[in-house]
Amino acid sequence: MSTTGTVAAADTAAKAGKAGNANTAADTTLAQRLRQEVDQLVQRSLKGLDYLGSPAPAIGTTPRRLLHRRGTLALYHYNATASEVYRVPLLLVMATTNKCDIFDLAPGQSLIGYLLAQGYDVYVMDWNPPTQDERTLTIESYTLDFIPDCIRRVQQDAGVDAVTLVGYCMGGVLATIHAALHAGGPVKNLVCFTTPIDWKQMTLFQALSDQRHFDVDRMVDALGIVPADFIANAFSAQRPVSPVASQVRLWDNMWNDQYVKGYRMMDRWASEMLPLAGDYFRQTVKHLLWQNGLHEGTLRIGGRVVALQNITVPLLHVVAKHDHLVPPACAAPLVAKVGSADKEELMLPGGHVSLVAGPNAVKRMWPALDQWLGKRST
Amino acid sequence: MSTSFKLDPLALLRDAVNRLETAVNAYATGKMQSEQFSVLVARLMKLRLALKLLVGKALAGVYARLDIPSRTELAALAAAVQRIEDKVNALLPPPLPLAPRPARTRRAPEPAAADVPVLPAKVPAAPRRAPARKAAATPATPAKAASRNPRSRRAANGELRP
Repeated sequence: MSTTGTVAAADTAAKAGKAGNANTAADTTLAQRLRQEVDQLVQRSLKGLDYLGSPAPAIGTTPRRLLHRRGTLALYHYNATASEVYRVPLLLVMATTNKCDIFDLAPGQSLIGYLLAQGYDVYVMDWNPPTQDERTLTIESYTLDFIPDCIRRVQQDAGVDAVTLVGYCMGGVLATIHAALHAGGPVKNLVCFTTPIDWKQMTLFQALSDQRHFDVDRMVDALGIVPADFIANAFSAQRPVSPVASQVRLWDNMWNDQYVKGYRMMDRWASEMLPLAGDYFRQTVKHLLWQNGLHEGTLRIGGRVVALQNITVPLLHVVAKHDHLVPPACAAPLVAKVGSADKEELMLPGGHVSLVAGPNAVKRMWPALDQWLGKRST
Repeated sequence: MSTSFKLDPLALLRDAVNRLETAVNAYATGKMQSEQFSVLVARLMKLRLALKLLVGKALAGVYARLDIPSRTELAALAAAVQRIEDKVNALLPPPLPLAPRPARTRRAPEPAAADVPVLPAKVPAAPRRAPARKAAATPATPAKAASRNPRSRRAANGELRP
């Protein structure tokens, strides 16, 4: 059983587990309850052996084609499933620390599958582990090269000029920076999920990278590429006991096939964390974490100040109420700071990952996103 | 025997695990925000880097003696292959879609009058206001008293209602 990167798995699976464990036997006799527990104990043992011997379920299986690949960047286009689509295509920008499979866990639990069914033309910017050649990539590389390049390719492939940018977490930061530096460009709408703006509110990340003690230059110069396990440990530190608790819950729910399947999908995605280019990591720590440049308006990318008020396109920011990685106070300033007339912050129950994927996302965030985006995609 | 079994010890145990997790996480993250922890993490980082350097040098010597390519050499080879692949991909035309593209004529469905909106209560885009002060024990003016007490005969502008 993998214990690496199980914070995200613990987040969503815990909620599913709590729902799955709801004591519906309020009026059940003692004998029935004991019989149920013995039955579940036997199933746990049998299915536990099966769990150890079987591979993790496949994720990210919605048919797609690779439109473009350049080193760490991969641009995918998903095959349309609706008979007609909205005019404006979506370009999803995944966070640079993980693969985009969180958007496409499984049939019925796939945001991409849902968007395709609702008639959107979906493109995704996914990431591969950067090589040592790419250790000098910076935020400029992502916001002034990768994103504009992908937008141009989407325009060419779709045959339309306007594109909706959808960014998740750090992908939202990159999308926001790009939108601020390209006002009047082809971005028609901007959607962000749990995007950190006021990095001073990320108190534990601030403590882990304390400027007085953390020598980011020495680390980046020595390693070149920041290893994935370093990033994973930083995320796990937000909830240090959760990996253990999630294993306890997994064993307790081993009899529940639905729970185990959901856990394994989430665990597989969470464990496939990506390393980061050194200079990009250095810039993130210095300019975003230490100087809080995006919130303070002092962030300079490509020699230009990133001013959030330059964003005037329609904006939707979906924030998770119980996000332990990007607290609501960290995400909140985006809507207040942009210059858009049509802007909205939507706070939904859930955590950083369960907002986007999982049973609760299916009934909360996805329909809300469709309702907002549909009328702005024509 | 048919008795109502409301106190389920196993459910209580599960609830205890959840509560313990939340409590220990909160305690641990609180402790981690101390300066001592930051110093400890920085020292562990330096130790790890030093060990990595030492182990890397030792292994490089071993690989050279055994005439086995090192991880660095393999990574460089993989990067070179990837660069060649990227250049070939850049020369090739983009892959064609597997099926005919649907028309871009979709319109958002019009919400019916009786439909309940899907969007939950949304936070307006106005800047956040400071938290309202608690109401005073005695109202400052009769008008304010009227606005709070729906049964008051005094309207919000101070005039008596008929």
